[in-house]
Amino acid sequence: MNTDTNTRDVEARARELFDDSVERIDGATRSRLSRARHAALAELERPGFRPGTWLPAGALAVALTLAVTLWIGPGPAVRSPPAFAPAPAEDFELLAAGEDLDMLGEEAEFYAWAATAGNGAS
Amino acid sequence: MASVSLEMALPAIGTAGREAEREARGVDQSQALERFLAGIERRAYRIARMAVRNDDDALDIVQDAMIRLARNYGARPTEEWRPLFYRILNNGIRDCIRRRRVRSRVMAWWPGAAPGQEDRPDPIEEAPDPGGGPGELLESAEALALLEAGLAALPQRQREAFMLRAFEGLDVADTAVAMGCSEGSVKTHYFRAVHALKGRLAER
Repeated sequence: MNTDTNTRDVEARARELFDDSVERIDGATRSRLSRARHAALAELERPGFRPGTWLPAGALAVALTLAVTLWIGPGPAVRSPPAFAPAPAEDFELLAAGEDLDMLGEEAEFYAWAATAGNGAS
Repeated sequence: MASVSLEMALPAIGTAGREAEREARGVDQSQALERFLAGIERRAYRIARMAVRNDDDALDIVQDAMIRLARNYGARPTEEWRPLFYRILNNGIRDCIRRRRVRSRVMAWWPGAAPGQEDRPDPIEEAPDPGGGPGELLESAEALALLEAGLAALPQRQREAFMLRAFEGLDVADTAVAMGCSEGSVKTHYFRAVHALKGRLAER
């Protein structure tokens, strides 16, 4: 309960500071952002751009590549099963990201928080 | 005779109609994208700025993300744009940080260059933006500086999770799309980030 309240306090304070900093963006930066947006929108107006028309072409290219690969690829080879299933990259990332492992002592606290946070909570 | 002419004309009308419909859809999509980008650009800039701590780099990253979104995903349903945009933005931030690290390593080998010189923040750039009353501005700038320092000290993935969830209000699923990881990882990174920032923000 207390942990949840603290978490919300941190979120609220950080969001407040962030929103404030967004409001105080100077005019020159706003202008540059506006120009960047127009440059992006110009991409949509380029001749030849048709929303969605590249999708069938892309699907056809993938299908053709797959067909050719299967047609000329090597025959079935006998593969020995891997000795162990490779761990997902994310697991290594969590361990090797240079983060502290103090969490080990806080697992219970974390799971309690995660359960209350839920999937859709923002 | 008249009916024959009409039948002959129908396919042409159908083609023109489809063309007009497609064009109208393109215009709608373009307007929707403009609204989306206009609504998100300043927040995206601040997020990039906090991550890379350089104005020009942050602007380049945001512009690149906008162009990539329009070019590659402009035709996708509008509700998919937000997580996709933040995924592109995150990738841009990561690339920028990676390039800096490589440059810094190369510069360390370069005769006469001080290691880490490239990464040293410019004190003028680090100054708070103008606006607001002096007292309020000072307090807000100090608190923001604390927050930015706290975020800078976080591992990259924790920082990403915190910015997307706390600043942008993305839910766990959209944050996972934006970060390119599982929802479980998002929860872990986010919890750790909040835990690490708690102490810093409590100082205020």
